[in-house]
Amino acid sequence: MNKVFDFKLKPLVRLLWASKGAKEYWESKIIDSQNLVYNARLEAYKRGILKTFPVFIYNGTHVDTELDEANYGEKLFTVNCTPTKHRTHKLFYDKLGSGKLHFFSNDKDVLVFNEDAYKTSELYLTLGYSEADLPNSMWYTMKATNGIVNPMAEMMNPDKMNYLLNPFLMHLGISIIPYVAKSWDDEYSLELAKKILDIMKEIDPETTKDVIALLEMPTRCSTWRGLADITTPIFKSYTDTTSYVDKIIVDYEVKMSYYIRGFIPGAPYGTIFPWISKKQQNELKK
Amino acid sequence: MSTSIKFTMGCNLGCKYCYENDIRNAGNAKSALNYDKEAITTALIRELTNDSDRGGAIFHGGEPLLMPIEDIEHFLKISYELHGKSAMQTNGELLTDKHIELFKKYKCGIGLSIDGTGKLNRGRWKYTEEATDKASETIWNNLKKLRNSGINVGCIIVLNTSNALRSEREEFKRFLLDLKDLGINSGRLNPAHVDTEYKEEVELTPEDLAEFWSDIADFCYEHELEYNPISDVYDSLLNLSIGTCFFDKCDPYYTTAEQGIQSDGEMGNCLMPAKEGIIFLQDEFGESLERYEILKNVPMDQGGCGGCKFWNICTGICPGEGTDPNGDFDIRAKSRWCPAYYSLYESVEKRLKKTIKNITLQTDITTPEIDDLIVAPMVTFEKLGVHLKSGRLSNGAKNHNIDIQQRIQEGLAIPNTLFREIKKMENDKKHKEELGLQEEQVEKIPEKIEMDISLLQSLLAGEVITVDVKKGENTNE
Repeated sequence: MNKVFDFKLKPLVRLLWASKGAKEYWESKIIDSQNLVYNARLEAYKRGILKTFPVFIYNGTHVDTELDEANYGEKLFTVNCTPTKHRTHKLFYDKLGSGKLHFFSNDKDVLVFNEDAYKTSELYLTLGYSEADLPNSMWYTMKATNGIVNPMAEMMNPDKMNYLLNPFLMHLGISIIPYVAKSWDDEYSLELAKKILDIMKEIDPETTKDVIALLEMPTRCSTWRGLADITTPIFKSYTDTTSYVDKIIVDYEVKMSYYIRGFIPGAPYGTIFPWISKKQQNELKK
Repeated sequence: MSTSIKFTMGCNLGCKYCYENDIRNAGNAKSALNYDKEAITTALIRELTNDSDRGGAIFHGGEPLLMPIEDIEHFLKISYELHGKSAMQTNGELLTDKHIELFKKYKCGIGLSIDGTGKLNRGRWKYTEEATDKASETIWNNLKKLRNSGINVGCIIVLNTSNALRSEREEFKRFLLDLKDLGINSGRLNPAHVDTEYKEEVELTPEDLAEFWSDIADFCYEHELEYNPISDVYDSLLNLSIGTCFFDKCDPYYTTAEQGIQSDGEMGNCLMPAKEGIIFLQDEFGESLERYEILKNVPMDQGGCGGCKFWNICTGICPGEGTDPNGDFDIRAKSRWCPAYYSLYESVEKRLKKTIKNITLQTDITTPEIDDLIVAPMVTFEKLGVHLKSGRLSNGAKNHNIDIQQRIQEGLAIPNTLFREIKKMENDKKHKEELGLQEEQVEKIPEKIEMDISLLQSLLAGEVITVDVKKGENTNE
């Protein structure tokens, strides 16, 4: 386990476009993708595929951080928590405002905060949802999915990377499963992801292609000193994370074809991964 | 804040240390003549009209003299008509008499990029030693021509292994004195930060830079020269001014000190931190300063700035100089030359204490609530009906004997926190207006900002306050 500093940044999500073309092409697609992910998970919950469903209710107000209420209605349990710590994509800024994080579940037990969550948080220190003292959607969902935990070293094995389990854009609301799987080839998570993906295709097949494209993009995740820098060929994104003393860089690449100029609309050239320079690309073509 | 125009990244020279090389190496630099004159014109007029604080246009590049002479005149004229002046940063090799005529006509000051005479200027590479030396001679002659024509010239001297090592020192000092003979007593001594294959060949080590600044600081003191960052360090310790943007907090994705008009007319950021070769769009949500939260909280012995007595006036230096322990560029890190800056601060602090009895320096102000006390840059908020003026009265330390607390109460020294709060209010209002919210939904910005030290402390403690700068206004008269 890496040593951490004794400080936390304020909740933060930034998205910085790498070019005007990237923004023009991808901005609306990202918003559509976020909505599709949300709707597909909700549908998966309704069908009993997911046992919990975390959701922000954007009502423009902040509420306390405690698990202060659990309402029973039909077969549905809900819990409010962590609204002041929620991370939401800045594209939603002022459009939806800040909101109330609500957990829906048809199994009351999965809404109970548990020791496993704490333990898991110690292992899961890569991206968002790393607040050690606050419950979050990932923990609840893990509880709902057989208590899957995330031994990070196995998860980060680059040989097995799979877009179905890509967690690197989770802080932007874009991932298929709503938690970090314990490994890239975890069968349970892969099956679950396929089921959710099928629902996405049912709802909006075109936007599903965009979700997949985003999750297949080469991505560098660099975490250091409490700030995660997640870089794709079209944007850089910052989010707060655990304050590691050591810098950890994970390069995610699943398809070489993404290096071909023009394959990712709006992606400029660059000097380091996940970009390549014009010269490097010309050499690759040869 | 200035409005720079980067109409091209093309250049007649090939300096190995140019901070735009990463963009060129990536393949993202446009050629010299591929700029949108109309779009730049629209953007320039908009920027100079909308923000009266902007100090006129600064023509930048690449090399701005690659622009056709009629286009140069076109842009100089716009800036002159809207602001009465402009400035240009050039390497000077392509300078002609016609250019000089235009500079005089439209009151354009020149920032000349020159690292010395002869071999000292070898960092400004022109692909062979012979061509480089010839270009250096031309540049030096053009500098003399500019001065003889009465044009204001400041020099940016980039410190690198060709001009700043001990072995070149006497020649370098002669160069500074030669500049003084031409009436140039001030300028900038910027260390070259290189993250390309030329890093080892060109970049100074922290030890080399510390040695250079220590020696040259004494030399400048002796010869009454005011070169930054040395003068900046004097001023910030005296709480007169934060100095150049290197010392201020800066979001690399929303660079408030420099808003650049790109070749397509779009607004862009300062490119010093563009080490990935990418020209990121400005963050549409404005400035975000997580880098400084990090540096403030990471202890010095772990490579951060936590506990550093110079934090308030240094802030880890420009993010473009940030380097992680492996030597890789990273905005989460402080400057790669921290030991050199620290040593410069220490030596100036020592000199001030020795020179001026009972002087209170910025480092002596320990009130915990004011942990962010630095002087705001010169700024006018016409819309707020407020004019805050920097306390920058003069550079250097020789003639200063100032009571810092009195200066704060007089409104001469403005804590940066206040500056940011006001700017944030402005940005919030603008953003809400853009979203088309109703007038009553837009938080009303106070007509008048008042400043008082106790209220300021309240502000820093998170309370809502009104601050009085009446006396600050008086200083503007």
